[in-house]
Amino acid sequence: MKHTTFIKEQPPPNEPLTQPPIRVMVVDDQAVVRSGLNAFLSIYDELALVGEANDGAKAVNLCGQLRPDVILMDLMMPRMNGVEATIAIRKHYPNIQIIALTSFAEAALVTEVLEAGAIGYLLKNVTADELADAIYAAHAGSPTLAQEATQSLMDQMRQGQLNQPGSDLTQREVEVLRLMVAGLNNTAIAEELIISRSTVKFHVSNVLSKLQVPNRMKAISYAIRHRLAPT
Amino acid sequence: MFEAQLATKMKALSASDQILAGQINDALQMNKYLHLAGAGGIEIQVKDGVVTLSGHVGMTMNIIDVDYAVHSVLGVVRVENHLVADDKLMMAVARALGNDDRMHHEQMGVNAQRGFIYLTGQASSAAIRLLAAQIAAGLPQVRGIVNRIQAPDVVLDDAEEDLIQPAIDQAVYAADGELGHVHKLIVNPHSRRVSAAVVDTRDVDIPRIASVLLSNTHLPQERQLLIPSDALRCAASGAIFLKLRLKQPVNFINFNPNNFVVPPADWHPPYPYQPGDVLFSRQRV
Repeated sequence: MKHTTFIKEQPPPNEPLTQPPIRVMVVDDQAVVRSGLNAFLSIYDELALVGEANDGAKAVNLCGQLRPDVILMDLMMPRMNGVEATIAIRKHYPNIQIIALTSFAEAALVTEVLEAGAIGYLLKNVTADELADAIYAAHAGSPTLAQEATQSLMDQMRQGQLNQPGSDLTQREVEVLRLMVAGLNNTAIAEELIISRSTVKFHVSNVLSKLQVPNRMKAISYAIRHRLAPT
Repeated sequence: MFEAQLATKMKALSASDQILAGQINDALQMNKYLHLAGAGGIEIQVKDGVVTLSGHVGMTMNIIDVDYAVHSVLGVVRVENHLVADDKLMMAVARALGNDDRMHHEQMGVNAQRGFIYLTGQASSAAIRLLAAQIAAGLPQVRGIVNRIQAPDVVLDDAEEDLIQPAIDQAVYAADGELGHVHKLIVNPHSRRVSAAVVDTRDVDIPRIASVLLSNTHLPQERQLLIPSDALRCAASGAIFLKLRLKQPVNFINFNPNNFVVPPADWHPPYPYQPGDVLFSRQRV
């Protein structure tokens, strides 16, 4: 017998009827940007700024203490960049949603941060209402992509850059692939790049996916054949 | 905590598929994160312990989390995971648009919510605007298109925002009484949206809908009516209500099967429909 059921929408367990404000954390190395976002968010009663961090590492540390619902994450930051922070936060705090908020709309960056677990990609020219809408959407589990990011993905296809597997590898993935070709295992790669083993594993998984190969050996073979990871 | 809750439940499991489906439902509902991430949009089918998941969730990571949660339920033999993530879907649509030469220099935005694609931006012409929707509708994982792209001489229609997907066999009520049940749906292949419902009236007493039947002098024996989607309203109770009244029979149109065709075998209907549920209008093909 086949049984089919649709999950019914119910209030999450132990959720009060009146929704508290969405707790937002801002991560950006530029104080002026953090200050501007603070002013943006202050006009919405449904949003509460609970903390700020000026790099990815501090953001990861603050998550356990501040428990934000949504993080606005810059991508280019010292110590730990936004992509690496996104990977770490999503791993340890999967209930926190992350929106990348950046000045750049390169297709590879869009792909990389969304694959890392961000739910949104916005540019810093966003309006207050657009930002608020993206935060509401993220909190509800829906992604948001800036029009410029869409445009960038469209342009990438136009230029035919996606036609060859591996052409969309990020700089970090190329580094990981280069070390794979050099014969290093994940532990050694982690030591070499000063990142965690789980982050290496994440990058290796992305490399296999982008090269469209089933395993590590085939990835190495492909990289050598197509000169994707020059040493 | 999530695993502990599941472990408690696992001890009480029986082998029946129905109970297993309920337990999987519970496992997903108990996880607040998955609930927020769209567990409410997941369909669970269980047959001999094999679980098939379909529907749409917000992020690719949700699919992994759901898969993990379902595998954790004792009694699950195998999981066929057909879930589609909105983040991957919106990127796929953006790339599909970029892959078409006619979209060069057009300013488009793409967002996705539970499988529905929202197109925004500015097109150079009404034809390009429609073409963008057609390209997006070419992806079989897309549930429907909401076209908010602005173009010269195009006035955006508020009705575009009304997304309705009646279920097959769902009861249909006019404003003043029961009319029948949903028999088939007419889907526009260029937007993957339901444009009309074929309502079977055979299970309703003739006297109740006599005025409708009398007005339709050529109503075939099947007693089927064609109700356009803009007359449909989906109630929270699961029934479909019409913005029409039985006492205004002129509003009801006979369903003429000659005006419709079966979709091509290689065309996949939008979730949650099966190939046999859907017809195309001949005008649209």
